Amino acid sequence: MDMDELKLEIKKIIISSLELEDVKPENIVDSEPLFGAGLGLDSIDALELGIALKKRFGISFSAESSDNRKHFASVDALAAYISAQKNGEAK
Amino acid sequence: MAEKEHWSKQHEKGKLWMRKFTLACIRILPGIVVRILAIPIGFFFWLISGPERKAIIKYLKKVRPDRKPYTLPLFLAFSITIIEKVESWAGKIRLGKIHFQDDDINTIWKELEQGKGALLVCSHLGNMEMLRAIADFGDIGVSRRVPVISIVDFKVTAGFNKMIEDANSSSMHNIISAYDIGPDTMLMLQEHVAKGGIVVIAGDRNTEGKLDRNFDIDFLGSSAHFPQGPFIIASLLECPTYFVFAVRQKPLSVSAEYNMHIHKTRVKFSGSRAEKKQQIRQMAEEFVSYLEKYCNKYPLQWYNFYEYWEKGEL
Repeated sequence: MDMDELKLEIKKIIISSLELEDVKPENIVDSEPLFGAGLGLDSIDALELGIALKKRFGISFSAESSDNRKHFASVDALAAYISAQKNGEAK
Repeated sequence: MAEKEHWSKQHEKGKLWMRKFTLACIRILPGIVVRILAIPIGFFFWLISGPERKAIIKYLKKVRPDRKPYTLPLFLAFSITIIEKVESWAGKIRLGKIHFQDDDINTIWKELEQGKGALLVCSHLGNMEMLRAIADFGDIGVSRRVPVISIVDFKVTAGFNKMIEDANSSSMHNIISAYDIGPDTMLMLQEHVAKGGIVVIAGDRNTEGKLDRNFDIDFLGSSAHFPQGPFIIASLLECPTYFVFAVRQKPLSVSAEYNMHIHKTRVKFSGSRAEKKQQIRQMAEEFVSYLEKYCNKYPLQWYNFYEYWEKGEL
């Protein structure tokens, strides 16, 4: 899966898991923040999105790391983190 | 009347030196002396807490409509509870003082013994710190140490938490602020529960601003906002979920005898997203019905000092 497909997939998961019926994948800007400003998701969205992305991509986080949050900052950050984890497993 | 501030914006009363002084007193003085001191301190806070008194009057009129809504006893009881919270954190409360009931306590102990984790939905009725007894004491409860994560409304309790930290730095207790929840939080909680840990969250504080994230549920006779968050977390964690109430047998007494009530939810999550939404609401309603039951049983131990019901409601 190349990066553009991955980003589209992430956007579809954001939309379906949070039931953002009036949002289309092309409305989500890759580099814009998902939470607060930008797409404006709240903390409950965050809880649901975390689980949905884990189910789809099997991503994991080290409990100790304080970097976890930044991987969820935007579609760009998520795509980079997911593809890095996948490549890590393939090696 | 001026617009009511959301409770999370209300300032914590008391300055840092006062908290430090309180902690030092609790550590040094015998329990009985500290409890007697709690009376003038509680009286002082009662005097300076106008808006809180008004909110409590509304609550008392609902829970005991047949009696005059005297607020002072509740403030005094709160003052004693604060002391006992700190004592419990500092490991100074003996478990013999906690009386378990013939409810679901054996079920949760059995599940914890099997290595399962759990979600405990507690409230600001009584002293939620006491429910750590479920997890913390190997001799009568569970033969393993059960790690606990509490999700707290940090903005209100920052000062208090600082005091807790000073009191006992070795506790197996982690605190997450509800204002600091992100997508990684849920994955971390899931992992914690999978490893047999307990997650604790209060089910009776409404979410700031986001009114669409509240449920309107009938509580003591009229509709009040309850948060969706704790029950959504329950649906995402898919682990055994309990409602827990730790309340003093007598609100105002020198001896700290507590009753612990614990009920496993009857709601099971399954089916489509729409069905789950329905189940989340059912779980919130189930929690509120227990909350109401114990408010009626222990009316003076309600420590939500803000306007709980819709404006204009009495």
